[in-house]
Amino acid sequence: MTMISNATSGLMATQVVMNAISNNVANSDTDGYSRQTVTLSSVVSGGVSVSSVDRQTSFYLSQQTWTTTSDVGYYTSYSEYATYLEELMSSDSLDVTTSLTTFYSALEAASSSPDDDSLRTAVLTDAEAVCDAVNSLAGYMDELQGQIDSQIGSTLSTVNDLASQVAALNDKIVALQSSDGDTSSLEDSRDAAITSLSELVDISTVAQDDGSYTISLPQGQTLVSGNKSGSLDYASDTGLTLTYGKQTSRVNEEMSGSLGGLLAFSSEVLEPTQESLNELAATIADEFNALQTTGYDLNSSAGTGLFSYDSADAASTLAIADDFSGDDLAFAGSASAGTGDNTNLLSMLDLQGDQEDTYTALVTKLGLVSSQASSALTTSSSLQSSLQDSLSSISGVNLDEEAANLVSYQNIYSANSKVLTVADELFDTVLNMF
Amino acid sequence: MRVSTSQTTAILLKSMQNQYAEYTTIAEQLSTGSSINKPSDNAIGYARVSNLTAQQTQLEQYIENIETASSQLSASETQYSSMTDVMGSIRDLVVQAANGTYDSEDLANIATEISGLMETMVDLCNQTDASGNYLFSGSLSSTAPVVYDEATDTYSYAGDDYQREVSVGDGITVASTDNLSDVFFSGGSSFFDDLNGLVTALSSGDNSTASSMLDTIDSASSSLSSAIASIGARSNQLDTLSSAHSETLLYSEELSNSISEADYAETTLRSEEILTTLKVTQQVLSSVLGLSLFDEL
Repeated sequence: MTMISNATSGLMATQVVMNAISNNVANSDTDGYSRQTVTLSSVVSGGVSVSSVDRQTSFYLSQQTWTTTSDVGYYTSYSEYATYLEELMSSDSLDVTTSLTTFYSALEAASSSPDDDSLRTAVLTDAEAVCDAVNSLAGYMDELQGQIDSQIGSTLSTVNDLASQVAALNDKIVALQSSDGDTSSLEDSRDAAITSLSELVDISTVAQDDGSYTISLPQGQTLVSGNKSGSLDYASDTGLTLTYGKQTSRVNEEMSGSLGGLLAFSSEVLEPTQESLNELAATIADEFNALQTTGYDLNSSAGTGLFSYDSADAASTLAIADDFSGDDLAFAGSASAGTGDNTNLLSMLDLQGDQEDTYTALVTKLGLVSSQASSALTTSSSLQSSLQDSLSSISGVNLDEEAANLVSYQNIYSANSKVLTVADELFDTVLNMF
Repeated sequence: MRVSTSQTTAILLKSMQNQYAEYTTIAEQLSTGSSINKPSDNAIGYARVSNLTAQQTQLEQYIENIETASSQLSASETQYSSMTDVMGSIRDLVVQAANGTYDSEDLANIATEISGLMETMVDLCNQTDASGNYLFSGSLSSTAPVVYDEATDTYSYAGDDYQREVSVGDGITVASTDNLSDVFFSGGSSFFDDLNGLVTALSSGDNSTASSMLDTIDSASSSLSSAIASIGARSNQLDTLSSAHSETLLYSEELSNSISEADYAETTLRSEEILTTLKVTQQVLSSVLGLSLFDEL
């Protein structure tokens, strides 16, 4: 009878193995799937039994991958916006240096005939173009800030959603594990959720004995523990906050993940650039207006300011003063001087260099920031791929390996069937003896 | 090392994506002819090119200003030379009037001739440029410089002694206009009033002031010559500056090109390399995808 039971146990065990193989083959291209292996062991009383079905993965490599994924998330959003901003600021129509150069060229041209109406009009038109470039740029930057704010909002809701998914999966895994059920696919789903989460926020994950994962933020604040999850929120006045249970605490915004990248770009790059642009707009207006008021216009009246702006929002509001005409340009140095006097105009020309340099320096700095971010992105991306590679070499399905196993277990299955047939024949032989 | 089937595909796909990304960058360089298509491509290079471009625009403007100033100067010079010619004719007549061999009728005829030449001289003084601005009235470009007052029968200067400085280089200005205050109206006296006095005297047969008038004429002539010489000197300065600017402009353009220009030979070669690697990767990918032990079972 032992032969029959041995062969039966062989058939059963082989079926489990082939079932695992079929599952691996079916999921060979499934993202986040960890292949399963079956460990068989011999039974003391004879036969074979399935001692475990294992999900092949490495928690250590997964953790490493998540950390690197956070870096990739950070630099992706940071460099994406930095590239956009530098391209914006250096584009032909928005480059303030170009419009300043044109404006001062028009002034240079007017220096040879300060009483020429068409040259005065050209100066005014080019001053308008400076305002347009500064206004449009400020508008685009406001829009960019809006895009970032809305991306922060959608990132937070995704983070909160993923955190509650992980908590729900924790719950199911703990329950199923305590009843010795197969948690593989649940664990795969949880790892996938954590991978998505790590791209958005900087997290550290600790595996608990009951099978659940505890996820915390950089400063140790708990985001997920067991079947409970917290929720992140952001407002410009309160900053980034985490509400877990009934407690709300402030979260340090300097962290990796695309959320950290967005916040860092906004506070380190966009806001300072907006401020610098506002300062430049105010400087252009103030310096030029100061000279305007020391000079005299075509009608020998004391000059008035060419530019106007609202100091609360200089770049968006920089404009030509109301009713300002070409005649109002105060090129003459004194009230008694005639219309052909350009003494004050010559002083105006001295303003050019510094104003242009300020803007070029702003764009250059942005270019450096952007190129640093994109090379950091390249580095973290390649680290991420090599970690994914290592993880995939453990968890990924190799179809040739599965095919070879399939053939060999098919043979074992046939052999066991044969044993069963032989045992049956032996039994028949014995029976036929009577 | 154990390799999973999807890993092989992923590695090959990733490598293809990287090659496509690099090819895109190179294609942009080839199509724009520039290796700096955004500041981060080469931030320092961008700053230098940006400064050089501003410098080039400014140099072009200086060169234009020099052309304008030169044409203003040559317009003034033309008038001054004509004035010198007229002055010569007046002097000849005054010399004749002074030598005492002419009767009062002859002197009256000479006076008429001088009077006509004086009108020509005033016309030359009151010349305007193409846009109708007076050449010689200093900053008061809409006012005729030499004004005749019929009531008092006097000539006066209505301009000022301003000379317009035009910006022709970084911190360099050159006077592009001239005025008549030093030539005909120096020290409170008026050349035209003196000459007009002589005309009145000659008309009534009196030539006693003719020889002293010669001194006045000579001093006005020498003022004219030095004004012409000064214009000549400024024109030369402008010519020198203009060619210096043109040279600097050329150098500046070469420099900014050398910073930003795409290296065609190298870039084209690199693009060929990438295309070859891409083709090979595609071939490898398709043969790897077709490889499966399952096909042999």
